[in-house]
Amino acid sequence: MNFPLEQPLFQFFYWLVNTPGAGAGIVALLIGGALLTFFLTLRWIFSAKSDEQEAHPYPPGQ
Amino acid sequence: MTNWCMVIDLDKCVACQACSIACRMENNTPVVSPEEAKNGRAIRWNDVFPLPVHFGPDLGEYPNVKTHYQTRPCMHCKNAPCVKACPVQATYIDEEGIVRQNYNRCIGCRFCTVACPYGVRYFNWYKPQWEGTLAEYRNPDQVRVNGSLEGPAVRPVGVVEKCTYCVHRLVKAREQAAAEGREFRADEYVPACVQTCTGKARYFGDLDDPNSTVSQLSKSLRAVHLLEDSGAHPKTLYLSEG
Amino acid sequence: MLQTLAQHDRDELIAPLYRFDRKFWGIVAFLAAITAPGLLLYGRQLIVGLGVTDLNRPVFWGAYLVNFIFLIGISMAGTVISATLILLKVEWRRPITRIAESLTVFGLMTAGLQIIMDMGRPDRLLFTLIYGRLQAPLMWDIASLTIYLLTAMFALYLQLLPDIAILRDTAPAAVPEWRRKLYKFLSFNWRGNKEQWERLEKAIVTVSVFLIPIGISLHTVTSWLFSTTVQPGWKSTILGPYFVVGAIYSGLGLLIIAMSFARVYNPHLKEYITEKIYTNLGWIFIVMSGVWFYFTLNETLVVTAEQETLEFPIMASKLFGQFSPAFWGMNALMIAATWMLLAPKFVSDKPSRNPLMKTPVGLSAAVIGLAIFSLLWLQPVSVFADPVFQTVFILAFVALLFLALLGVTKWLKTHLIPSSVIASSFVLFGMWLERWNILMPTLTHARLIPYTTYDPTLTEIAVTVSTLGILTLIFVLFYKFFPSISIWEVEEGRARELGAGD
Repeated sequence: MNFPLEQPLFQFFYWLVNTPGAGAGIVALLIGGALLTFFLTLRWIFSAKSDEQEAHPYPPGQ
Repeated sequence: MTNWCMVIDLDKCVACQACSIACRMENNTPVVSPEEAKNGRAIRWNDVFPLPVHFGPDLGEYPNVKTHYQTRPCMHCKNAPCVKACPVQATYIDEEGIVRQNYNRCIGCRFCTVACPYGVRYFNWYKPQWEGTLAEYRNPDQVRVNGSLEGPAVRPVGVVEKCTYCVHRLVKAREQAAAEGREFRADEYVPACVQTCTGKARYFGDLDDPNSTVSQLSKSLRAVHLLEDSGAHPKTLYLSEG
Repeated sequence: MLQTLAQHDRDELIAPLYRFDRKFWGIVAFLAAITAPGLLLYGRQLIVGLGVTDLNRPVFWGAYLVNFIFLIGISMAGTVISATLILLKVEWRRPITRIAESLTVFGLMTAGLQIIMDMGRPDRLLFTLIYGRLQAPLMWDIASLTIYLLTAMFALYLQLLPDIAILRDTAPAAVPEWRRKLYKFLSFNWRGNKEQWERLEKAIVTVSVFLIPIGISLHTVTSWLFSTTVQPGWKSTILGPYFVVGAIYSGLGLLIIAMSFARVYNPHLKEYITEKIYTNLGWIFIVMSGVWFYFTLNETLVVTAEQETLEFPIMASKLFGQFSPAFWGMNALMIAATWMLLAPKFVSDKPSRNPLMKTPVGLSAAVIGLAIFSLLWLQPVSVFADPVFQTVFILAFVALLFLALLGVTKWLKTHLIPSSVIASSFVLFGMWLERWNILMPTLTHARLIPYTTYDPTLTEIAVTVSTLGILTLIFVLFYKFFPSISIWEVEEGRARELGAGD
């Protein structure tokens, strides 16, 4: 059996977990992704068409 | 590449604690008050402590008294738990196998101190202080890595510090060799504790060189690592007593 | 009829938001007073260094870290109650989702504070974002905590959105301009038309789906901080699930205390937060305490039975040594809490003829017993040193505890809400001790450093009190700006119940 770190894939993983800044980048990506998702969700909710004039205080039934 | 390693022969060690003091003077470790030391705040990169560790020294009964001591620098592990635990890579293993500490980056989370099974990492609970004129006798040597001071530089409050195998001596020896225009040899450098050892119990050198003293001694049947079961692959070797 | 009820809701839930009476300022002043000393002492710690704590080598982590795990634990309330119950479409959740969601957010905020207070160099906090390494467990915790906090805040905001719109539309004339602007900004252009509602509901369900695994990840990652080290006592695979169970357990405790606090503060809430909710939460509580006891048994039994040389001294210090008061105190608190929730289910409302079941008799018997017990304890020559006496006294103590619990059972039966609150505070205190019992025995029993002790100093105690003060203060202030009960959810539930649809 070869030592896994001889494979470039594992070398990349090793670099990824071991490099200062790389981890921060991934965490920043995760956080940024979450924030972007939240922003897009809000935009999606607010952009709902408002043809009807009526407003409901709670979800209207089906 | 060189792979620095220390071998401590416990048969030769007389527990004089000279290594501990030499280390203190060489590396500018701050002095703490006796009360603080009692509360476990003393900083001794190279500690000398009685065995067994936990229930006090086992002296035996008079007149058959006997004590056992052990001296403990950093193990400079190949698979160092402290290095794996540091979130900002303030502690790292350099190309020559020395586990080093970057005081300017350490955030003081103390994860490394908790992760280290040997307890050789120390935290600066207060701003380091020296009594009276002691501050004038601080070691002026400097090791600068990417602009930040390491090794014996005076540590700020709230960071972790540890034994570096006197890395500033290595830097100085290299500079000397370069100034004299010759190749650096592995036997030109030893840490302060090795130089000062009363019983000549400490050996230092390149583990990768098959002819060096340390690699010869590492093949001895008496050669043991401390807490081998921790999986940290410690490098500092002990030649067991008896 | 729905219209009048809706008007009633608005009167009782919205009107108190604009009433800055003496009660409110009194509570704020009290909380500020208990928060201030801790902040001052923390300021001193910032200047002098962490030496003002009792942390030492090898006890590098102390009360701050215990608080951190505890606060992470209580923040589980939102995930469990809100997200799970929303997904299961449980109707009785409606009045408590808001409080549950917000506790998650506040708990995580104060937990983050603990980490900063524990750092030797808080000025270098941003280094974790510049030089962060993915191999370090602390980095996983930072990632998990941040994402959990953001998601919980988002979930809370989505829940709040229709209510903020109500606030925006109904603000009385006397409301200051900045508050109006705040509501206007936060509700953006929420008009509550049919499509917006459909999208909002979809978003709430989706966030709830994500919230549960993210929450569980935070609790397990926090346990990995400890179990990924090579220290004996922490090298345990059960620590992750144990933390999750403990988190749900203590989270429920905080939720019950918080909603009871809201009820006492605004008595009108009694119409919404009914006894039925307490009964239902009580059942979840009982189940969780069963699971928690089983996990504790697992943790204790495995280490005790294997007698591993490194692990066992740590377990022994919990069972018989330095940490035995904390360990057995925790167990006694949890047993008492479980009894308080479970025992009333098995007795009738009618007064019992059994004298031990009469509250005064049972309680006074226990108090007299405890008095004798403490008198013996204070004797200059301790009788407890004798092993036989020790056994007698342990059995006597257990019997007295049982007697006291038996005595109060009838009272518990008739006082559901006070008994739930007392049980919850027992659980919260017990869970804090549990976290202490996980951290401290391992830290004080290092392998190559003599065994040591750790007693928190005034700074650590004051900062702990002040953290709880900050948590309560955020809670109180937040609910001065937003209704503590989700108006739209309650109205929707009522409409469903009456079968009126829209």
